[in-house]
Amino acid sequence: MHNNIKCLSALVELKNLNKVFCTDDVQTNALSNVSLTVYQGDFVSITGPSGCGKSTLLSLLGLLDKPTSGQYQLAGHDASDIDPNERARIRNKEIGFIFQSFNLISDLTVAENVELPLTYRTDLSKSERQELVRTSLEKVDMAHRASHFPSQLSGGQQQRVAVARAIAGQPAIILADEPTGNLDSKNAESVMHLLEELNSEGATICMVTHDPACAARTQRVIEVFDGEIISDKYKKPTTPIAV
Amino acid sequence: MSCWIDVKYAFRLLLKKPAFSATSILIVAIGLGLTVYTYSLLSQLIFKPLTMQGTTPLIAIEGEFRAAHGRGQLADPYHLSFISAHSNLLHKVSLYRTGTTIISDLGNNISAKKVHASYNQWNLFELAGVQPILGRSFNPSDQEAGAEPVIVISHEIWTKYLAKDPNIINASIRVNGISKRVVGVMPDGFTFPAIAQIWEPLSETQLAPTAPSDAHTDAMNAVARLKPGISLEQLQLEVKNLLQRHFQTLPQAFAWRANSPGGYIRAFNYKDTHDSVAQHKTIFFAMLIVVSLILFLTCINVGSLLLARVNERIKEVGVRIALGIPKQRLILQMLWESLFICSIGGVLAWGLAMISVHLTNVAFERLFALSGDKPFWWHLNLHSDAFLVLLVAIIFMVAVTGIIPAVRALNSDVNAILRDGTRGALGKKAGRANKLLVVTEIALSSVVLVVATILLSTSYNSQNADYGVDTANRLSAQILLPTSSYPRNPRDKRNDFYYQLKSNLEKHPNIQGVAYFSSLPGTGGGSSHFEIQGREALAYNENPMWNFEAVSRNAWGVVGMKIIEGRDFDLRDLENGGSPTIINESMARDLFPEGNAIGQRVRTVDESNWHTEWRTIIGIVSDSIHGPTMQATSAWHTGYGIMDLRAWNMEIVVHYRGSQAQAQTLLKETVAAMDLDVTLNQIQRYDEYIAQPMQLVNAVNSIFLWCGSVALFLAASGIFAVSSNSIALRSQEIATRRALGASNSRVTGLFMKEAGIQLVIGLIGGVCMSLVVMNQLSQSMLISSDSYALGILGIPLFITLMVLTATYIPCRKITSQEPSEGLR
Repeated sequence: MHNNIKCLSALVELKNLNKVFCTDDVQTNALSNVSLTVYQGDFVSITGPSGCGKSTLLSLLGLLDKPTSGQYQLAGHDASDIDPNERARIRNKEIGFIFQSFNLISDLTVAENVELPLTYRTDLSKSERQELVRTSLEKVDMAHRASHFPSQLSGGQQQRVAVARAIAGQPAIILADEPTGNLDSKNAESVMHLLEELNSEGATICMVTHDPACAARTQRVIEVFDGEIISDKYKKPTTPIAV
Repeated sequence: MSCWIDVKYAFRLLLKKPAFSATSILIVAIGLGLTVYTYSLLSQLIFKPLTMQGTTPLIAIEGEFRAAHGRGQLADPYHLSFISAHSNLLHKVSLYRTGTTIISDLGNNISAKKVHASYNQWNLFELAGVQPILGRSFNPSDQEAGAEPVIVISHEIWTKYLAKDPNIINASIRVNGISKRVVGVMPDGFTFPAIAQIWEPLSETQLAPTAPSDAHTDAMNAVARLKPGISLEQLQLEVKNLLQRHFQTLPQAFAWRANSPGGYIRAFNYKDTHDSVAQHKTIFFAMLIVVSLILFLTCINVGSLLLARVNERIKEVGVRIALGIPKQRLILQMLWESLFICSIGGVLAWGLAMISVHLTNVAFERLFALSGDKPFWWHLNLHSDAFLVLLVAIIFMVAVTGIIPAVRALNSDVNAILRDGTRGALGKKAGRANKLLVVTEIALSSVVLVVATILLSTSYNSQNADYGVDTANRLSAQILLPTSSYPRNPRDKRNDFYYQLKSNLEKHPNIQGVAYFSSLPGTGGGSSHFEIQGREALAYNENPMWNFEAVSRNAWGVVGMKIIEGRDFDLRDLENGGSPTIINESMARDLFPEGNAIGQRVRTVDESNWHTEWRTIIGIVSDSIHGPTMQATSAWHTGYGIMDLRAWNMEIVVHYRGSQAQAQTLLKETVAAMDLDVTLNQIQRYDEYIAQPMQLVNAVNSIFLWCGSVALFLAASGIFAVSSNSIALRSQEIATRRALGASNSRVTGLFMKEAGIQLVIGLIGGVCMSLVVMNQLSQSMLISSDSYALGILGIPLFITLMVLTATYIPCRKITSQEPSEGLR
C-alpha cells in the first residue's frame, strides 16, 4: 500500500519558526528558526532527546501554542497569528490529536469521548455524528466497547479510543505525541499498526517519539536537537512533487 | 525525633506560602472568634442558669394566665406561699414585687429621685447569697405586723446621692413621702431581683394571705433556688401537681384558675424573667444556628484550602507513600499544618472575642443608659468555659480541616501519581468532594445571609414604619406622682396635677400643645380580650382583642392624630357618669364593617370572669400602632378611654417650637415649680422613645450583620477557592477539550453549567433551611412580606451572581493560557 512516488501538496509549511519561553529571568529558546514542510500523506516522526523541543514543535503544529515569531501555513492558510476561536475551529476540523496519556475524559463513555470533537461542530446532525463515531470505533476495533468508561479499558484500548477520537472528524492531519509511550510492546505494536493503516489510507500523520523502532516505521524521520532540526530524512526515496 | 521533622516541614510550608497561611489563619480567627463571642454572649445572657452566689439555679415563679402581656406577671401570693411551704424540690423561696418609688430627704440639696424598688420577703438576700457591705440584711422581725419601716439601699444610691455617707446606717430617708430607716447598703452592682435600687420588706399578712385574692395590688412574683440535682422540669411537674391540689380548695369565684388556658402559674429559668430575653429568645437561637453554620463554613473553607494544597503536593504524598510512610504518620503530617493554622487562629480568635465582649458591654451601657433597666447579669466576660469552647472548637477544626486532605492523600492512586503526577487530572472522588463542598458552601451561606437579611430588613421596616403619629418637635417623658401626695383613690389630685401642668406649659409661646397617654402611640403594646354588647362569645378568649389606653382631653392633635368620625372626649363625659371610648380606624373597619361603630358598647373581659364596665364608642380616631411593628405583642386595634375617669400613671408628650433643649428645660422647670416630689423620667425625643424597644433588636441585628458579612466573606472566598481548585484540577481535561476544538466560550459554558447545577441544589437546600429557621422566628416576631421577598429572592440572586463570578474568573484565567500549557 505504500506509495514510493506520490503527487503531494504541502499541507503544513513552517518558515523560520521560533518559540521562546520566559520564566522569571530565564529565557529558553525552545525552537530556533525551524523551517519544515509536511506533505499530504506523509507519515513523519519527530525524534530527539528529552527537552529538545519536539513536543513544542508538535504543539505549534497543532495550534495548541503560538510561535514567538515565524510563519505557519496550514492547508494554504496563514495560521501564525489568528484569534483563539479560529484556532479552535481549525483544530476541531483539520487536526486530530493523539496524546501519550490518552487524555480521555473519565466521566464520558467511549462513544461520547469519540463524539466529543464532533459536538463542537455545527454542520453535523446527531445521526451523522453517530455514524462517524461508529465508523471510527469499528476502524480501531473498539465498537464493542462503545458504552464503557475509560477506566474500564486497558491502556492499549484507551489509546485506540484516542485514535478513533482523532480520526472521527476526518482531519487533514493527525498529530501524535508519544502515542506508544505509555503502552507495553504488544499494545504499542497494535497502535503503530493502526497508524500505518491510516497513513496507507491517505492520512497525514506527524508523530513525536523517543522510540527508534517506532520512528523506523515511518517514511520520514525528522531529528530535533536543542530546538533545531538537525536532520530530515525520507527512509525510502520518495520525491515529493509540489502541486 | 522523626515527628519533629514533620513539624519543621509543616512550619516551613506555611512560611513558604505566606498569603495562603495568612488567609487560612484569618478565616480560622474570624470563625473561632465569632464562636467564642457568641457562646459567651448567649450563655451569659440567656442559656446559662443564673446561680449568683449559690451553686444551684435560680428559678422564677410567676403568673402564666396573662402570658400575652409579657413576663413578670404577678400571681396570687396565696398560691405562691403554698408552693413555698409544700415544695420538696426547692431549697429556698422568696416572694417579691417590683415597682418604682420616689426617695427624698437625701440632703446635699438633692431633689427627689425616682428609683426602682423591690418589696420582698426578708430572705431575698440570703437566697441570693449576698450580704450588705454596710449594716445588716432583713430579718424575720422586719416583716412582722407593726415593725418599724426599714430599707436597704443599693451601692449606687449610697454613692450617687448620699456621697458614701459612712453614717448612713440608721439614718432616715423619705420613701414615697414616708420616713424609713436605712439598715443596710448592698455591694456594688447588686440589683437583684431585677433592677432594684432600694429594698423594703413585705409584711407577713401580704406574704401569706389566708384567702385567695384577685386584687392586683396584692399580687407578687417569687424567686426560688433549686435543691442540688433537681431539674427545672421536675420542679415544673411538682408545681403543677401542688397547684392541682390547691385549686380544689378554692372558692367558686376563683375556680377559673384551675382551668386557665396554659395554666395559672409557671416556673422557668430566672433569666427568662426579662422581656428582652423572653421576647428575643428565638432571635438568639437563630444567632446560635447562624454562628454554628459559620463555624462549619469556616471548617469547610480551611479544609478546602488545605485540600487544594494537598492536591498541589500530591506527587510529594505519592513519593512518601512509595517510600513506605505509615498511614498514621501521613495523617499526622497532614494534621500538623492545620494544627498550626488553627492554633495561631485560635489565639487571634481569643483576642477578637475579647474586643467584641468589651464593645458589647459598652453597647449595653449605652443601650440601657436612659431606661436603666439593664438586667444585672448582662455584663459579659470571657470565662474559663469560653476557653474550653475555644479549645474544643480548635480540636474540632483541626480534625475536620486536617482529615479532609489526609483522606484525599490516603485515597490517592500512588502509581498514577508517580507515573504522570496527575497533572490536572481530577479523580472522580475528588471531583465529587469538590462539588459537595461547593453545594455545602452555597447552602450554608444562603441560610446565614437569608436569615440575616430578613431580620435586618424587618427591623429596618419596624424602625421606619408609619406608627400613625407625628413625632417631629415632640418630647416624651414619664411622670411619676408620689401616691402619698397624689393618691389613686380619690384620683382628683392626680388629674388636677396633669391638667394644671398642661395648662401651665401651653401658656408658654414655644409650646404648641401637651397631651397625656397611658402609653404613647408607637410604644407599649399587649392586648386583652373584649366583648361587643350583643355579640358576646361563649368563651372569653373567643372574643376579639384590643389594646386599651387612657388619654387626656384634646390629645389627638398634639401627636398628629385626628378624629375621623364621632367626637373627642370633653367635659360632658365627666358629668354624665358614662364610660365613653374612642376606637381607632382599623378596629372600626375590621369589627364594624357596616360603619355602625358609633354608639356600640364594648368591655374588656378576662378568664376570671372579670370585666370592665360597658364603654360606649363615641368616636373613631386615625390609626396608630402600639409597640414595634415587628413584635407579635404589638397592637393594631386600640381603644382609648378618658384619663379623667381612672387613676393612671401617664406619659406626657409636648409639642414644641424652637430647640429641644429649651423645651426640655421648660418642662423640668414647670414640674419642679409645681411640686418637687413629682419626678420626670426618661425625657427624650418622641421618635427616640418609639425606637427604644428596637435598640436591643438593632444591637442583635448588628451582630447578625457581622455574621452575614463574615458569611459573605467566607462564602465568596470559599466558593472561589473551591471553584478555582476544581477548575485547576481539571486543567488537563480543559486543555484536551480545547485541543479537540472546543472554543473558550464553550469551555467556560461547560463550567458555568456545572456551577449552575450545584447552585440550584445548594440554593434549594439553603432556602428550605432558611424557611425552617424563619418559621421558628415568625412565632415571636412579625416578618413583613417585603423582608421575606428580599431574603428569599434577593439573596439567592446575589449568591447566583457570586457563584457564577467565582466560576467565571478561574475559567477565564485558564482559557487565557494556551492549551499546550495544560497538556504539558
